[in-house]
Amino acid sequence: MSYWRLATAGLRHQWIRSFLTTLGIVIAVAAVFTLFSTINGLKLTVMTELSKVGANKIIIAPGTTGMMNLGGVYFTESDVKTVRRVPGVKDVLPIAIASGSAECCGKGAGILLEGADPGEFSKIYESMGAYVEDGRPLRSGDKYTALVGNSIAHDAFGKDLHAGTTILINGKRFKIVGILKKTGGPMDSAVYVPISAFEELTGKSDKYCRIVATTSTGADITRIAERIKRALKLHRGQEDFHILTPERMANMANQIISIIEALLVSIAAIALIVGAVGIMNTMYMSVTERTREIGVMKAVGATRGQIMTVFLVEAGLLGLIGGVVGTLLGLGITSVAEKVLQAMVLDTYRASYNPFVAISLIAFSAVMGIISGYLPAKEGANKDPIEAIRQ
Amino acid sequence: MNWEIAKIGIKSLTHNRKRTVLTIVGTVMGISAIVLMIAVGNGFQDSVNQLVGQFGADIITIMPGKGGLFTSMMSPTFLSDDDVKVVEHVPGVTYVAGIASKALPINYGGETKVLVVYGYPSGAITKIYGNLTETYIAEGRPPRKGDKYVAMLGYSVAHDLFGKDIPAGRSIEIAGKKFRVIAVFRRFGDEADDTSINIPLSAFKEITENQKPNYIMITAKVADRSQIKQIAERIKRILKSHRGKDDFQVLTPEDLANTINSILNVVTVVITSIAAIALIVGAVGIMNTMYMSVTERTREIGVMKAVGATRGQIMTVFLVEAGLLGLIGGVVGEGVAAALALLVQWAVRSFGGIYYYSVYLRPDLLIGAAVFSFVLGIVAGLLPARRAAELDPVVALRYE
Repeated sequence: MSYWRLATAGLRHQWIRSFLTTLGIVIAVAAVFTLFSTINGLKLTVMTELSKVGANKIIIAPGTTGMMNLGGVYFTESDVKTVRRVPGVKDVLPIAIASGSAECCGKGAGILLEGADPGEFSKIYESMGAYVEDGRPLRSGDKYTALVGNSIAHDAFGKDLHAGTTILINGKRFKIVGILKKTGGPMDSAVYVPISAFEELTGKSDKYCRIVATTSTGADITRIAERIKRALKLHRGQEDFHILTPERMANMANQIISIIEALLVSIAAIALIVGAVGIMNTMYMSVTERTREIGVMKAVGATRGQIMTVFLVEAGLLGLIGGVVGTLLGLGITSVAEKVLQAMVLDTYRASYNPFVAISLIAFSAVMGIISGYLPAKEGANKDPIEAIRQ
Repeated sequence: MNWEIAKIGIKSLTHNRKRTVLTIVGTVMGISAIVLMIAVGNGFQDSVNQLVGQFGADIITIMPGKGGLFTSMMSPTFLSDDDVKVVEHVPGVTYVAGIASKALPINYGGETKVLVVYGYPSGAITKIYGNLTETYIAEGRPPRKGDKYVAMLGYSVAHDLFGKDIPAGRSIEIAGKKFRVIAVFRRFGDEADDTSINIPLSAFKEITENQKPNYIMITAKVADRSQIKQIAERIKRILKSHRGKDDFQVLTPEDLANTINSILNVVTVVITSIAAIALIVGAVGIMNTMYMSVTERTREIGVMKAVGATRGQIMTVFLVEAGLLGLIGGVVGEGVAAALALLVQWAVRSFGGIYYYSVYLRPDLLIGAAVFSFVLGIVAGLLPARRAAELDPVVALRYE
């Protein structure tokens, strides 16, 4: 109790100093908390999105990595049949891709034109209902209809497109049946059309760039992916393709975001160190100012340990208060950032408010305060009482 | 007179050394973080511009597909042999190389992998990139006239993909035909380049049994750099009428540099502003120190006022002190940043694969940061200095 009073007396004595010292910690802690919660939220959101779209989907892509197709590898109908025969596979959707151009309201734009069987498309992307923000996905019986990516619909023509609008794709008239939600990825500038229309537009047939396969829920997706790989390799004679499972995609996304997070948080952590130096500074001042008091305490029998405790409590309090206020401020900034990100990037984004992060940050700032106060406290404790009292 | 006043401010820095040093340490960290981020970020932008300016200022790149680099790499549209010939005949173009690509089975040590193989017209690499090729070769030699069944491998092909490393001088099988590895590139850092296999176009045509291969890219060299924009326009027009549709993009070096620079810019701004938080905390530290300094010297201020010092003079004393705290922190911080930046430069050159990378440590950044830290110190000192100037001399003299 008396430690508490003595320590807080130091804080109250110079309230501007205490305020400014704490302010440094507050800013630093708020920054670290905001970055953590926001980026972690982004990570979780990406995971949820991936698992929603593709929990039971396997994507077969050409080449050795990624979705690029630099080598001109195509899949044919007979590859699709091979995949369809693999036990555990439910539906199979081959997708043909070409670059194309769209025209509307007197303006042109480059698009990624994707063609797929409209009936199979709606079966595979049944869950994609949530991903169409206006209108519906492709359906069997569709011919000159298009499902349009978000930035094509809203950014490309200087005017918003809606379900029902007619656009020209490679010079041919198409009716838009649906607009996809924003994903932030290449899908935003893609346009999906029925495969029959695609073949008419491009003059290419039986050349697919991607195969999407689904499994029934609960199936061992990794094992089925392995089976597809074996069957397709045997059928094609070589392994000129690779298989992406939702797990692999999630891992890839996770890895990238984690690296960014580590980088940004460690840069923000520099501010914490600067704040700690501020605490050390303040504690040296406090010790110097209270030299006489230390002398009196020693004269009435206070031990070195007791004097150190007084100052360490003061330093720890500076850190602790800074940590608590900083976390609260960070919470506020994070929720504002959440609203902004929802409005501007992805409306399913949720910040990740992790109580563990909050508690660790607060504990960390308190401990950091005590560490910064150690040297000044030792200086105070080592003062010669006779010299000190004479000051 | 003013100098005398300033000297009081300077002297007070030595009054409480420990405090001065700790305050400066805070500023040093903040400034060095910012200067480091800008130096490194601008260094990357410089290397992009340098690469474009030195090695590619006279080169136009034609890629299939529309809508940015990413889309054109995803969509399997290719340019044809005819397109190459059309570009060759565009006035102002002196040399054209079509780069063909196809995924082919590669065999080495009994293992087979399917990788993307690129075919370059013989001499194209040295003609277009000049001696840049040599700096990128980790082992082996650049292609020579008369080379036919030779291959240059990306770093991952030689070191990661197969069970055993493939050193220069060894042979590999591409689509069943033996090729001698004449060179292994250093690590470029991007997957497409690091997993590439480059062979002469003549050999490419032979093993693919196709005299009219698909081209992933056409590069055209122009005679007159100042005309490059007009020539790019001309290529666009002529190729469009030849292909009958606008399904390709013509990129000038400026276009390429702009795309990359705009991304780098965003990254630099984000990272620098996070680093700036440390500097704000440092500035709060200066403010704190100045309040302490004012409190400690209350009596002295009373004396100065009693002998006729004006408010402005007293403010000057404390602003000089605060500005100096910022300036010294800034200059030392720049020293720290410079040392770290050179370390980054060394790391990027040796491990990152950019051998011409130089961090940006130019006078404008260094002087700018020093001035900025001085001004920041003064701003942080404003409130404390005003407090000092407004002290009542009678109260101040009585202060203990």
